[in-house]
Amino acid sequence: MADPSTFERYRSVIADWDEFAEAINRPLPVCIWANPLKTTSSELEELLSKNDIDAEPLSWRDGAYRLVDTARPGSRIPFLAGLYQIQEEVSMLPVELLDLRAGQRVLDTCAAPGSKTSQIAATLGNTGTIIANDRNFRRMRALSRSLDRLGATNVGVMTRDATNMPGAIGSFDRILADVPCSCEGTTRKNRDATVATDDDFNYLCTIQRAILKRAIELCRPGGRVVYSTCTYAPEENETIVDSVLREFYDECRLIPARIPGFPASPGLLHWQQQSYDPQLEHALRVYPHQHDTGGFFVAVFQKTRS
Amino acid sequence: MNLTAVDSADPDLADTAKKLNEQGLTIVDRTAIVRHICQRFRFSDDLFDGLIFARATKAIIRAISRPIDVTASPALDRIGIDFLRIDMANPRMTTSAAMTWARYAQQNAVDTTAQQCEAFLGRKRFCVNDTQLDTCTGRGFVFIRHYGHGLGVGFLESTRRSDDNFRRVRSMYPRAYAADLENTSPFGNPL
Repeated sequence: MADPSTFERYRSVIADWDEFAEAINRPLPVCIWANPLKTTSSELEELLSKNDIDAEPLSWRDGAYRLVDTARPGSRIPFLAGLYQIQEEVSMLPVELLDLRAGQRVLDTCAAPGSKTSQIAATLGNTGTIIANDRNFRRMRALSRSLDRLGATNVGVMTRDATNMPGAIGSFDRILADVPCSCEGTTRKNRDATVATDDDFNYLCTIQRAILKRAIELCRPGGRVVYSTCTYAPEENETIVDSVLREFYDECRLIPARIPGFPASPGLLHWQQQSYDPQLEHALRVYPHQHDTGGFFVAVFQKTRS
Repeated sequence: MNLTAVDSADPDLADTAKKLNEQGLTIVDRTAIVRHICQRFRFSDDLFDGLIFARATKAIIRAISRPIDVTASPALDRIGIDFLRIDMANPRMTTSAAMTWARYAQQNAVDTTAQQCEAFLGRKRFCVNDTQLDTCTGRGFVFIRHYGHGLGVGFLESTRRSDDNFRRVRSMYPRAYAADLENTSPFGNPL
């Protein structure tokens, strides 16, 4: 059981602390989305019903559902046929905020195990080009399996260091930097998740900043970079975004990361003794009690020029 | 199967072919591939128009969206999905291809019952009935579907009717996939 006192350092920034403390120990609902490469949401609903899979539509995203009391949805027939993909609800946010359009060239810098890459492929409808990268080739096997099952024919897979992506890879219309983090927001599915130590922060923040910087460099003018983590720590969220905004002040700006129907909080403008760029208000913080999900952070950069 | 590389002078494909070549893939002429699979499964002629077929290894042809915007480097570990195994006398579509395109097949696709489907996913042989044989043209590879959606490939041993010893399908569901399903029921039944 997660101990709410572990997250005491965030008490001053979480408005409904008691609700938060209660929510982080509830089991996390399982969510799925219909794979538009193979089916429609109405056809999937019919199949789920035939297979006795009880699902409630998500209010903010068409074709996505919360499952009710369904054991092992990853072994059911519609899943095996690639008709749906399992993905945590809050983890669907970054791809929604990419604002994808058919035919775009998209980079997923830290793709494993691949649910967000799959969501990108499904949204693009097998048009355009997706490069899915992750340094961990073992975790990329899960991504390959998902792509095979879903029928995604427009994805290239590579295993490079995202902090040092070669320029030869070309530029992209959209880049997702869902960076490695301390995963504090995952306590509902991972009871061992805890607040990071200073050493963890130092290690992770160096990588996170480098990945985001490289992503901004590889983005085309007019394109978007979405930065996301599943942690509450401002050191890994606002601090990283703020430092990159300062470094690329004449090349990019933050645009509002908001999803109608999905309750969340704005990014922080102050943390401990630090003040952040006012644009951080456009970032999105999600706490588990707000929409019965895991914790998350998203910031959307618009590249204005190179 | 006799597969020739596409003419690199084809203006639509020349640049892509060059870049894929640097990635170790050779775009091949689609004619023989499409003819082979359409003959067996009676797909509509234009079903694969949005795809490039590229040889990834001696054994595998990949299906890749067209157009695709890849660069010559850095090296990709994979692109597109495995489509056709060609290292056999009678090339067969892969499980991933069957999962994607089996629903469009107008012949040699078996719509399974729950029991047959469970047998297939457990890599066991199963018998088919006369009705299921109606759209099967003869011994060879067939798609295995459930509620019309593709799950993989099987091998129909014979279409001889009224003889359970012959009209059987051998499951070619991948071992790794089947292993993942051990101790579970794909229909959610208690074990």
